[in-house]
Amino acid sequence: MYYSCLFPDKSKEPESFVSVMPDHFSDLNLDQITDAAMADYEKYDLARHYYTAIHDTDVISYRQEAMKELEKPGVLDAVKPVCEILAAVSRLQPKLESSLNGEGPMENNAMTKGQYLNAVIKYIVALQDYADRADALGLSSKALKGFADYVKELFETPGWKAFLEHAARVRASFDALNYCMLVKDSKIRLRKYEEQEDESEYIRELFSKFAAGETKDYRQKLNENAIAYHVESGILELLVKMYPDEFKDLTDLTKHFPHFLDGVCERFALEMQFYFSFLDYIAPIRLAGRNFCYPVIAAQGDRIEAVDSFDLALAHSRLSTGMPVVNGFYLEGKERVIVVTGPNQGGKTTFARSIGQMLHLFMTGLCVPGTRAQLPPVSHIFTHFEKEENVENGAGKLMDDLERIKPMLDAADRDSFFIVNEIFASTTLDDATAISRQVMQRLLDTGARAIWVTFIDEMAEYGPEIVSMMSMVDDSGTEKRTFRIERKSADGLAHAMYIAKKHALTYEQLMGRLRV
Amino acid sequence: MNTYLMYRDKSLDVPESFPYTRELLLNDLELNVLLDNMAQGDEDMRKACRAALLQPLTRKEDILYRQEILKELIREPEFAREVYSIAVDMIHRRRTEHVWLQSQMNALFRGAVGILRMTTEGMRKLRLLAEKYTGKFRSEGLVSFIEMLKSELDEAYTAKIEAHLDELSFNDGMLISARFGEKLQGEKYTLRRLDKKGIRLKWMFAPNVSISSKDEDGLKDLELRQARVINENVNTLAQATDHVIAFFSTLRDEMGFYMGCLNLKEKLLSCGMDVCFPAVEEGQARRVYSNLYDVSLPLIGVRPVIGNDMDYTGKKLYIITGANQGGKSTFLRSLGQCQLMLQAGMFVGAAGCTSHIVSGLYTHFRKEEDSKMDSGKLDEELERMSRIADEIKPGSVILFNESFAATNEREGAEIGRQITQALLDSGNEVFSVTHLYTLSHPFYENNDGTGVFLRAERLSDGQRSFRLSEGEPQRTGYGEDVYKKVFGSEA
Repeated sequence: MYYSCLFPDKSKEPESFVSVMPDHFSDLNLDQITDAAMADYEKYDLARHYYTAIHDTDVISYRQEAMKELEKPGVLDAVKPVCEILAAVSRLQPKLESSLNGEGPMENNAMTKGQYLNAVIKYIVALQDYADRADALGLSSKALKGFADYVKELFETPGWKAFLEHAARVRASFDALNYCMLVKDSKIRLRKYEEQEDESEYIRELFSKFAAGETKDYRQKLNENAIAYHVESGILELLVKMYPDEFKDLTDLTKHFPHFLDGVCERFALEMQFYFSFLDYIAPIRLAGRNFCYPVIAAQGDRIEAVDSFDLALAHSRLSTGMPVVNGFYLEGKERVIVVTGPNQGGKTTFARSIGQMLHLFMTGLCVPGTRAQLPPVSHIFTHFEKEENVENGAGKLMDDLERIKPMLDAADRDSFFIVNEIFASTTLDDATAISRQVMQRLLDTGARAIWVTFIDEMAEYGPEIVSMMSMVDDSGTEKRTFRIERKSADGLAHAMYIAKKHALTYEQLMGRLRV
Repeated sequence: MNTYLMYRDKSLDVPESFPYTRELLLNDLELNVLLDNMAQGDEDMRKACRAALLQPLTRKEDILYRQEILKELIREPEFAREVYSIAVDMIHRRRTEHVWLQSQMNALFRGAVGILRMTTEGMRKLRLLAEKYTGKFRSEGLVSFIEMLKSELDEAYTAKIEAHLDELSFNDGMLISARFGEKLQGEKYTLRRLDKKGIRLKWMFAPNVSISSKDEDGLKDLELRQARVINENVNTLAQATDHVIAFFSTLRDEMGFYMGCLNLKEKLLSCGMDVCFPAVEEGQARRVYSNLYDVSLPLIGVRPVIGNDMDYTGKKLYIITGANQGGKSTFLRSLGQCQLMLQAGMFVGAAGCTSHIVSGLYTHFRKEEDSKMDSGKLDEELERMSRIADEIKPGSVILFNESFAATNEREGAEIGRQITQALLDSGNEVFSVTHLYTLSHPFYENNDGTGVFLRAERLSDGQRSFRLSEGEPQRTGYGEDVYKKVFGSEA
């Protein structure tokens, strides 16, 4: 039976979730990302899904498959409203239930029953809609198609059939009714409708020869809710007398199906919000021209890489001022550690952060910034960033740096990933170099991968496991920072042709574009 | 009911802004000078003229349709002026009525009725004008316009509107039909026409909810219910008004374009410049011009204005080289303006013109100033080129003015060569003003007969004639001459 849209089955769900923000979140600015992503979703308990890294690659694939499908044209627009309705019904149902069982004059009356009918119909239509759209869209992911299959099975149960038949009958009976009010001198008189002509229609007809194009809506937003409960209720109670059979059938419905919301459906709707929240968060960044991708899961020994990635938190904070530069990296063969050097303020820290963000997002099954990526499931992400707040004397700071990194090195294994940013900057270059070399050796001994931002150029040549990358300056000689981080070897392309290529304006590229 | 003065089968679309590449045309071709002189301070007229220029027609029959209308309106300018002023008046009065800002529903309703009554006056005036000019026109567009006004806006119709507007009062109460909403609340409140016969007997014993005069909430609720109904009807009345006004504003836009043409023609003639209705060539690439000039020059007071003559058939590439300040950019502008005016159905700035139709016109001019850019100059130029490439359809013409000069000559020429060649090979026409000898000369050497090489003339005394003549691209741009002209001989 269908279990959840986040876990293929019960056995894959962790016993407990991480409910407190993990340590490395603030170093990587993941806190900014997840806080903003969850901001519009406070109603749902999403933090645990954002905080808990999933180590089971089956779950990662399960989620990636669901997300990829959600991103296909039309799918999100089809699935999201359905889940919103189910979630709203989930919140409303307990209130309705207590009100229908209540004794007070404001409780078990025609108005409450009207609300109940509304919830029931919305729920039924939402599920039917989901099943229909799943077929029309050709959903195939285990999470989304699986739920559609579950819903279809539910539809075949006798309980559902009776519920559906009854609810549809009640709604249809009310839809067929049409009454008239004559309002004059503070009195509302009621009669059944007798085919009186529509005043607006008459006007529209009179001016139909002019009708062209779109029209503006001049209707003012008027509160449709009754101001005086007793007037609405008074009218409704007159209508109960005018249409006794219809209201009796509705009362029976409320009695036969007091809690109609199915548990699996409810869970689906609440958990899907995890995907929705992230897609919402990245949507404006995509619009601004940046790409996201689903990393291929790297097996032991595979090359790992990311192409055209960027710092997601930075991108989100700069939606109105321009997207950050994209960067990529790869590690293959023996390579384990990327050492990033180069001019200050050249985007090194941002680059390091972006890799950490990517790894965590990947481990929650979400898409990551970039056009293509292949990433390994990591056992732990360790971050070591310079702590700016305690500007102590050099020795104290160095001690602090070392004390923080030691337990990380002790706990690390070959599947760990370190993000080390400008440590030992408080001491002399000689000291820093010597200590860095020792820490680097210990790091290499664990077999973990790392990205290491440092001002010590020498670290870039520590050994064959090291890859050197540099933050670049403009090659026009103006020393302008480009915020691009590249492997040191130049690619040999002349600068101008490189720019032409970037704009897809070489002869071949342009021919391809103009032929379309 | 449509005016159809700009197209046989649709109305002129007047967008507030245009895609990037078209906005570029405004600057690069000095179209703003043109538009200012067409509109003469009338902002709406300016927008209409801009819309016509920036949305070129691409079929000969459509161009002739406008040319014929324009020729007749040149003969009967008073008709154009009167139609235009009726339309403008309606729109102006609608704008200045503030009834839409009313918050009281009842006042809103009365106001809406009043405005609709006002528009029937405009309809009547148009019809009378149409009757007066019956038989005076031969062009397809104007003949059907006159007929349309007479048949659609006849007296019976305007009288019927006025009769119904008189009817809208609620002396016997407001009859509202309703249905059961999602929560069984009253919904789809609809105002119904109340049959006054037997009204008392029918409703006297109907069940009712009565609201006491002390029940403030109840009275407020009742008022809101009535407002909900009127809300719908105010909406209908306002939308009907909008539709009528939309008709008048299409009329204003379309006639505004012709008014703009009349204004421009008068202005150019007063500057002593020729205009002509161009002959439209279909089938082959053909450009025959006599005294083709940059229309913006006389309009900003330049005298004398020197034009160019040319006669080419079957050419694809025009490379223009030669002296600085020698009239190269002017030529490029005159050509672009001429093409756009022709494809807007207008006359053109030349003594004679025969030209084919292009499917699109694009300009890529070197930017004078790019202080706002934070990317490099070359980057900006190529970014712009790339956006143009996104839109190009085969059969377009692209005008380059000193493009790709933001890097060294070798690299700039290589980029320019690849782009030019790709444009030509995918069926486009290219005009390129360039200083890059490394770009122009190879095209000259490999000319297959479809290339034309023009040079800004330089007389033996170093003076410029501002005319172009055919000739092999040469290395120097004569910048020294310009320098001398500016600084005098002391330099």
